[in-house]
Amino acid sequence: MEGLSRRRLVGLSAALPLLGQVSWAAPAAAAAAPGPAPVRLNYNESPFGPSAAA
Amino acid sequence: MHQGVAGCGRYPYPLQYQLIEVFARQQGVDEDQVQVFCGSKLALQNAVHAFTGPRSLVVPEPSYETPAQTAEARGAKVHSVPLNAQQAHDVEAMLAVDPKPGLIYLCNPNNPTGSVTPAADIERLLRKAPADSVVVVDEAYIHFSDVPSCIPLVKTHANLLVLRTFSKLYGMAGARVGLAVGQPPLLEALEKFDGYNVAAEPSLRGALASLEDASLVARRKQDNQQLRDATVARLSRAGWRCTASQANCFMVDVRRPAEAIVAALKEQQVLVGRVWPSWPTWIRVSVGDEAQMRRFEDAFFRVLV
Ligand SMILES: Cc1ncc(COP(=O)(O)O)c(C=O)c1O
Repeated sequence: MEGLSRRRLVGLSAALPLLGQVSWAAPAAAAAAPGPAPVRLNYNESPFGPSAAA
Repeated sequence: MHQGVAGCGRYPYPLQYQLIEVFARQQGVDEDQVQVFCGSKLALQNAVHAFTGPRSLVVPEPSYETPAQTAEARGAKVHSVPLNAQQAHDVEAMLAVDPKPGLIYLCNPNNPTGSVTPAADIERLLRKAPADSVVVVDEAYIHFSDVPSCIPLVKTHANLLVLRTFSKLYGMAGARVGLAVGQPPLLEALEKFDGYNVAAEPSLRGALASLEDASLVARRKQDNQQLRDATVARLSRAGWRCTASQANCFMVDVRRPAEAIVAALKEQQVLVGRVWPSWPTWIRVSVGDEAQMRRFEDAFFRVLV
């Protein structure tokens, strides 16, 4: 596990429920282009996940 | 791992002992020379708590930052020793920087460079280090490499602690299982900070299944090597210098402030690792699957025209 700040994660998730309540947030989110999911090559994780046997 | 969810009402100590037993048998060590931690990071932090404070920590630079961060948090002196020209640990310099350190940290292969340190150098360090200085060899990435493990050396070196993880080749970073291997007094010293904790049952079941999957290491090692070496070869042909990696990450010298390149790649939806202040023009790239490496390369060559 590498340097992800828990405070930042908690801050982000605390803000999420609020987003739906503000008038500009929903249209802005809907307008965002779907785009490809980011490629995560930042934490030396395995792209393959646990063994199929697991 | 799914089966383990149903068992989550109980503390799964029997499974933890089973994991210790299987690992000890496979590695040819005694069961009391192995302990399980919720991530090898925790074992490493506990080692820093146990063995530094009044005495110092010696680390290579650049390397995995956790030991230095933990030592700094407890006010212990940290000596950072640059890797040598071969990007291996400079063991003579590490030995010379403090005649009586509390803990010497080695990472083989090293994060973030992926470079390796020859076994002979580690053995020399073990021979020359003071008997009461603990040497930690972090083998988080060993499965990807051709270097021999230091685990057999714990039998003859009372001050050696070897760390392993299920987070890297075994693909279980989110399940949090790591192992420490060493003689019982060293493991006891770590346990003082861990209170004989137990990992989660799904995680222990996943770890056991991984150890029992006979072809997993060889298969994933080969896939990782192919993907890494193909990308490194294409970057090198285009004139970009890369580290000689034997891990699931490598570094590229982008010959300009690397933070800006990390940000530019992020705009291309490609996330790469953080920048080490001592190597400010290098980015660290983890090895993904084939499609992910293609996307990395496309983005890299768009950003660095
Ligand atoms: C060298 C090294 N050691 C230890 C760890 C910690 O691994 P974990 O706590 O997931 O077992 C990492 C994770 O990135 C690492 O790079």
